[in-house]
Amino acid sequence: MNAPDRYDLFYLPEGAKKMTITPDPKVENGATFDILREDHTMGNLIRSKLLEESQVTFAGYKVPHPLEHNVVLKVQTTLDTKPEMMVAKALNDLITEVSYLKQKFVEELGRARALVIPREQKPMEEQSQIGIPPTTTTTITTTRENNTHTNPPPAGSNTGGVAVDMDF
Amino acid sequence: MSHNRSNNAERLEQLRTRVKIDRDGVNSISSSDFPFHSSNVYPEFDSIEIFRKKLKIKVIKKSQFEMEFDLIGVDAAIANALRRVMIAEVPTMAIEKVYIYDNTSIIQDEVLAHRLGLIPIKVDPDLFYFKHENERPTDMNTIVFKINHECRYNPRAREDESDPKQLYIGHNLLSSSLIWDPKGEQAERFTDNPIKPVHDDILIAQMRPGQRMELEAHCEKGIGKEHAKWSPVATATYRLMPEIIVKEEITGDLADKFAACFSKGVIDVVEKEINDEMVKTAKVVNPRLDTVSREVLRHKEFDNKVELTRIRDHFIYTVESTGILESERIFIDAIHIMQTKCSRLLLALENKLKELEDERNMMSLDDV
Repeated sequence: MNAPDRYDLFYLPEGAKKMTITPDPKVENGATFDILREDHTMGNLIRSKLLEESQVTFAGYKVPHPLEHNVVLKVQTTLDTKPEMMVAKALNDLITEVSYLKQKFVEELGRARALVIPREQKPMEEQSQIGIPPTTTTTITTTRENNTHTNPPPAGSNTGGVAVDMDF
Repeated sequence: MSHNRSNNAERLEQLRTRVKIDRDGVNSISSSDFPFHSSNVYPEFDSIEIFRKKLKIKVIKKSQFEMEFDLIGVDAAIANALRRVMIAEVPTMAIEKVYIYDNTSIIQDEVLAHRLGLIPIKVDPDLFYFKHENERPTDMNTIVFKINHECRYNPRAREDESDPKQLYIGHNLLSSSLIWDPKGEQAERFTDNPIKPVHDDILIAQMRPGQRMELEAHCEKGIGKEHAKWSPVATATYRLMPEIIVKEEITGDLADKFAACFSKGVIDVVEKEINDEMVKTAKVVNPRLDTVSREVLRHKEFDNKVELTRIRDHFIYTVESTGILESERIFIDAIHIMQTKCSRLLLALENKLKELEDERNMMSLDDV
């Protein structure tokens, strides 16, 4: 009845600003960032990124009320920069880092795929078992036959490849 | 003195890179990877360069809808943000509105609608738009399913039959009864892969002869934050890589006892030559399998012989998809979403800064 609307979680109310910045009245180079419609995901991320900067003397965040989907970020910096600049730098760094992470992930996925023989080729692979060392074939065929995740071979033992149960 | 100093450095390094697991709790939990924590030296480094150097990803297990991979060298905040985004912010399509024309089954309308909502629908959410509150449904934001189902007696059943399977026809309403009703251009857009539930055998309701169900269900795009039915993952979790440090050789029968303290496959008992004698010795072979039960710390005989830690920046992710999106796709989508979130905040910040700048300019004009 008086439950908040579900879309309140992520729709910015009309006319509201995503971010408001209030300079701290007492502390020099301190500021409070009120960010609407964000949660711990971004709050903690920005805070931890800010803490890595040597020019940031304080960074903390809170979600003031569990039913209001807003984050308050408090930042204080040294005098040679501004809190706004440091937050902007943190966000820019995050974007670069995350895109690098994606690039690495896609690369690794490609590597993992290349190591595994697609399932459709399984009969052919079984036919030409002569050329393949016996140990690897047995592990591969058993996993294929079972085709379950109930009993995977010890993951740490396969240092070179990902020849566990994969079916791309 | 020098020995002492190196010892200190070692301990500091361990505090920085490991989470320590003690008998009565977990210690050294928070990351101390920030400037001036352990030295007063002004750090001169490029944090992005360090990130690039440290980051490692390794796929351990992969099937179409489940994967396990290692994410090494990232801060817990990034790892956790990715996990949270995977669970709560990667969109999928799910039944959101149900128009019930007839329902004489014993399942109440609202319970039925809830059950329908939880059925995963196999369709690429990227091909649809979000439907906003006041928008009308179109073929770009809504998928329509219909159920028209009736339970009847089986005329061919034996008279003394008591098995409902033989006695009735259609007494189990399954998700395969959801018939997709293509609207607009949907029939052309999805000729290659018609839209249907991921599983055909999800039981929606049990019925008896004479009961009918006729309804229309509308799927909309949404995210798990709003309702868990839109979450693309059955579960997305991470744990830190366990590490077992054996400080002193554990030999003889103690080795067997030691191995029994851990999960199967973690410790191997091997024959090793010590003082010209072959002795059974415990050897750590695969710490990944350990559940970190801390059983080993309960036994007096292993006091000061073993240390349990977890590697602070080695995350073992497990992503299990509901079957709508492939597991790697969920992770990649999560990364995209995190990027958009960051750029949206950056844009808001820049707008705000511009506003402040304009205000200041106005003020200085007033002064003149």
